[in-house]
Amino acid sequence: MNMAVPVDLDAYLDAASAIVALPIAPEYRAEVLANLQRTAAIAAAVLEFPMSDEEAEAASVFCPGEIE
Amino acid sequence: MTLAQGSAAEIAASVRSGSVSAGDVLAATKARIENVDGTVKAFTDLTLERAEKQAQEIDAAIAAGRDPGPLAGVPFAVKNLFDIKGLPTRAGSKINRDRAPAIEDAVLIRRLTKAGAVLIGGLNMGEYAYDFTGENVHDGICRNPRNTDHMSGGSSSGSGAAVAAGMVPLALGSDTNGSIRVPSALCGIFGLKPTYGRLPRSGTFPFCDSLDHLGPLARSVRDLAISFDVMQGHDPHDAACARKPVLETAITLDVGANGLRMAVAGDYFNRGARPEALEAVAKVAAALSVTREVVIPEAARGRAAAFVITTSESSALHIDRLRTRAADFDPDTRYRFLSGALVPATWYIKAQRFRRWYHDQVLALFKDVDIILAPATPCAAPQVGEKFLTLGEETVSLRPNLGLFTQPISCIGFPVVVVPVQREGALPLGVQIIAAPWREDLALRVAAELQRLGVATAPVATGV
Repeated sequence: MNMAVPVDLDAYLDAASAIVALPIAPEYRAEVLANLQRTAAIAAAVLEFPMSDEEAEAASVFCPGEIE
Repeated sequence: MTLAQGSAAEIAASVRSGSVSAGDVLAATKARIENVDGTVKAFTDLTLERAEKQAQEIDAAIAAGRDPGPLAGVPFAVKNLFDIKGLPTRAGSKINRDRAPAIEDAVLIRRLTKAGAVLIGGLNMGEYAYDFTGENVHDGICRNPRNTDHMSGGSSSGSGAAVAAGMVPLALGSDTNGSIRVPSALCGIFGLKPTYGRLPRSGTFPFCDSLDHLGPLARSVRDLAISFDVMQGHDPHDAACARKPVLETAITLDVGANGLRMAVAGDYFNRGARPEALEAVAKVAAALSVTREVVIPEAARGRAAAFVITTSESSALHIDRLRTRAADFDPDTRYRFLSGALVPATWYIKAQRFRRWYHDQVLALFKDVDIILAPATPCAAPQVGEKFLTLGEETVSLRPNLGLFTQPISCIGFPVVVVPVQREGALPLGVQIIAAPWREDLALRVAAELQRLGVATAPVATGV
């Protein structure tokens, strides 16, 4: 797993749910944790992709371009 | 032509010429819905009172010699995340039923209505659009009209099923990661996911702002084109809606595919699919004499970026509902929304940065090609309730993998038409016709050519 992903997601889940004030009920916890682990594995593919400072523009406001 | 089962273009022509009335079309539509929707469960709301009133107005306009609009009398229905005046916009959820009724229709409903089309109702969908299956715990499973033991696909499940079953010739859906294209493919109809930013989303309940698109589903390419043409135009209430001139697509449909540089997507799009999904692509490619292959670079990472962006944005949208009403979510979406609320900002921002890079690479690819062909889904419609997908000797989770081939494209907002390839004795498959941004006209031209050749067809399902 990528170094940027917290390894102990079990502890991370509790800390993160506390900081965003979203308590996870015990009956949902196992599947939430499993999904968070899936998400971390998927995110790792993006996180490990090298990008330079010149490629810093996020696409959060996004308008597809045109063929020249 | 059976009234309820004609194309939108045929119905509009008949109504405009006075050979049938809008009232007759509406009556036939109601009868078809009554006959089949108890089994299919495509509709969640019917708006027949306003439909009756509008049909009367159209017939009165024709009697008075006034123009009733290019889509006069055409019945249509919308995924229930579109605002319909007088109804709470449920977006497939239980929670949203407590919302105040919408005070006006979504912009795209208003534009279709102005063109003479008649809204029939709201359609079933996966909760908050986070779904590829068509299964909804609150409103019931939307079934595939071509075989009701099988999934319609989602999340625009009712949109795909209502059109395939011949209840309406035209429906609107939304597509964030594949939610127009997956049900179009599984139900065996045509669907258009336009360029991101092309059609205004004003008056619809969002899922993931960075990736949400709206578009039409129909049984003919012409119906996609004529509805798309009247729905275009900037609207200031959607910040992502581009200020682009209207692209008239219906008038160029008959130009065909000649002169277009086309290729099949290789690498990523050749793997992770059942043989029949790749055979459908090969059949389409052969009909168009396409032999070239291109590689869409980093498609797998593009899909990963779309996943991270979707889970982060959608969970942030729902966080108050997750805090107060987690038990009221569909069990199939709840754990994903809860988990997405915990994703760190650095992951999300890297995904958005990667998305910019990936967009630029794929845009550059389109300097040398006009159209790329790819499978829409890795398999035909699975049975309702199925959780896993077997690919050769590998078994993967079904739900996310239904979007395997759609997600890398919507991630960067390129327009796609899905064309249905019917199979004798088996459920249909869809093929994605992908074009460069803002060139929906080219994808529609190729789709029209495939329909003209009889390679892509969308007959009304006869099994229901």
